[in-house]
Amino acid sequence: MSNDEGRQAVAETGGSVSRRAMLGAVGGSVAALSGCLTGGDGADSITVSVYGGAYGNVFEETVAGAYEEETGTTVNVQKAWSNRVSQLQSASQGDDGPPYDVIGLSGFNYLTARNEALLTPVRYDNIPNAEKIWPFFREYRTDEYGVPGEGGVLGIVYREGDPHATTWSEFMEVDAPAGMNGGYWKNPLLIAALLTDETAGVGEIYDPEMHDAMFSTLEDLAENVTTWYRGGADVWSALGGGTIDYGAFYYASGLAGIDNRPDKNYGMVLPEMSPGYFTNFCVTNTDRRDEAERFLDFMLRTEVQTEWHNSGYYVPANREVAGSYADRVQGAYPESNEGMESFFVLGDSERLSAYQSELSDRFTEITTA
Amino acid sequence: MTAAVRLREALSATRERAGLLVLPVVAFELVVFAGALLYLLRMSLYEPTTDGLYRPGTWTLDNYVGLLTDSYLQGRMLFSLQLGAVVTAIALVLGFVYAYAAWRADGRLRALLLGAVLVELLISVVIKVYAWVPLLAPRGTFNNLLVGAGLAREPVALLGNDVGVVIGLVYSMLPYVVLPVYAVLTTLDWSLVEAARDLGASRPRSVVEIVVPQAVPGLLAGGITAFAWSTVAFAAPSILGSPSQRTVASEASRFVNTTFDWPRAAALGVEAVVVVVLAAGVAVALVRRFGPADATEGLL
Repeated sequence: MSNDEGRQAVAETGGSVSRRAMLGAVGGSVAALSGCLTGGDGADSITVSVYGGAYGNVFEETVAGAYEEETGTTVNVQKAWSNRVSQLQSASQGDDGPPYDVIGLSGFNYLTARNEALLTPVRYDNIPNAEKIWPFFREYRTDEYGVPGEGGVLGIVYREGDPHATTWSEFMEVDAPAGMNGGYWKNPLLIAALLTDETAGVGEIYDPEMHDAMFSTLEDLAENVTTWYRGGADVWSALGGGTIDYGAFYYASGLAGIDNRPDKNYGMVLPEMSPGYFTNFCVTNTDRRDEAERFLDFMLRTEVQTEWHNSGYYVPANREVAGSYADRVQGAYPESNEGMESFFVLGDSERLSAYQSELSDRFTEITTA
Repeated sequence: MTAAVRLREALSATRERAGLLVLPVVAFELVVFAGALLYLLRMSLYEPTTDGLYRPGTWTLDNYVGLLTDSYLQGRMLFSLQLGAVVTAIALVLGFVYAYAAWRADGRLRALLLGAVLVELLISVVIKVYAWVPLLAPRGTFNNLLVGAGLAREPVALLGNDVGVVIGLVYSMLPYVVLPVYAVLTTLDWSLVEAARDLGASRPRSVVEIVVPQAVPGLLAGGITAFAWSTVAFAAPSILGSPSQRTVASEASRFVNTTFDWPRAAALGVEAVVVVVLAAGVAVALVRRFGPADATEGLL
């Protein structure tokens, strides 16, 4: 049969029928292919949700891997960035229980999950290793719903040989394309607050009357920012592709990223004061509360925290690691509780919650301009 | 009983059986589509709170008032519509050419062309979009070719701007234009085109005057799909664009996941649905008014 005969045969079946059949077939295929396949949870398993990218990979290889090896319990590590609290909330309205047994949260994610009653209080009697956590981490915000696990601060990643900033103020001075995280407003605004320098520390961010001054600084900063990226993958593609010469990026993730890249043609610098975060690892409203708390206690062991730190360079919550930081961060990370207090420039989510919509809107408007 | 009455009764019985067959689909649509939309509408009427996601048990229209008076968000809506229109226009032209080529191709080549389109549907949209990053980057494949061939002195900005987003979206939307257009073309009698050429029409004119009007139902179906999806696109603007290419979907994601203001996100979502449906309705009305007869039959 020739092609034309074939087309003629199709035509004879009636235009609307064949058209509908075709569209139906395509629609059905797309619907079938787009269905989610979810894995089942075994009895000897625990599901842990952590931030994505290199962070999640390091967590999976060191903490989760070591726990599996010691206990035989399978640890399903779910890695994602921004939608985990939303998923937890959506799941709370069903009968299947939360999608995660343990979830690592910081900032507004921790605050919102706690306020929405998505977390179970931690029974610290079951977590003796929590005694080893720096008091700063336990006291800065409530640890009732999550044990601090690690922290990190922003640094500046750059391509070797290219001009780059070494301080936040140089972001406005160095004549080279720069990048900054545009997906979330808090860190850029903390940098702007540091640079505005009209109050002590980052007081500008908490005072609505100082917001105009802070955003004015951000606008100056934004003039040199050519790329507002969304995450780690964007940073490396922007640097590798030549879109930027340097950018703000988490110090620990940057160092780990350089270690893992075939071309180690990059460097990291840690400004004197930098915005940061620390993560509270929380137990959800799961029926595996005991197993979840066993996992958290394991995560806080000195040897586990040391291995986690050596692989990903995060600031360990366990103070016993302080004497044996990895060579690459020797001298950069504090070794006392007072040092921790001044090292981390954190935005207090509870104090900021009343303004967060306004701050996010104004930040987004500037980055979109 | 006359033959006419028996025929009428038979047709009536057939229609009733056909109606019953449609019932499961209608029920599915009611639960999955209408149910979700109603939930979205209800969410948009809750009061927001700084302590959580929304204040249960409350009712307010403030989210819509705030939305409609927010010049920034309305600007994003306008940008989203412009983006959708540009992507749809390019996808329709390229999709028609591709579908026409597939229709006119011989067996293996046609299978290859259609297979390529179907394979694209099997790949995650995020992976497809990310694949464009090394291709469009300043030191990427396209720029190396442009500079290497002497067509550009220095790398051209193809990433982090409208160009990158449009390229990524057009690529993602092509299958949804190609397949319905191809399906319609297969019903076209080629002898009509040959007759036009025998009567003196050039090849391009015979395509424009014979093939294109016949392809309008497929173009309309593909165009509506491409427009609806690219107007509220999220992945391509996020990965291939800069914040300047933020769409309404980007903003809704920000409200859901960053500021935890679900009612505001829902109100934006409802507005986007209404605007896209209205735009699609206008397109169908225009085709009905100015297009070939029966062009919208069986589509809407």
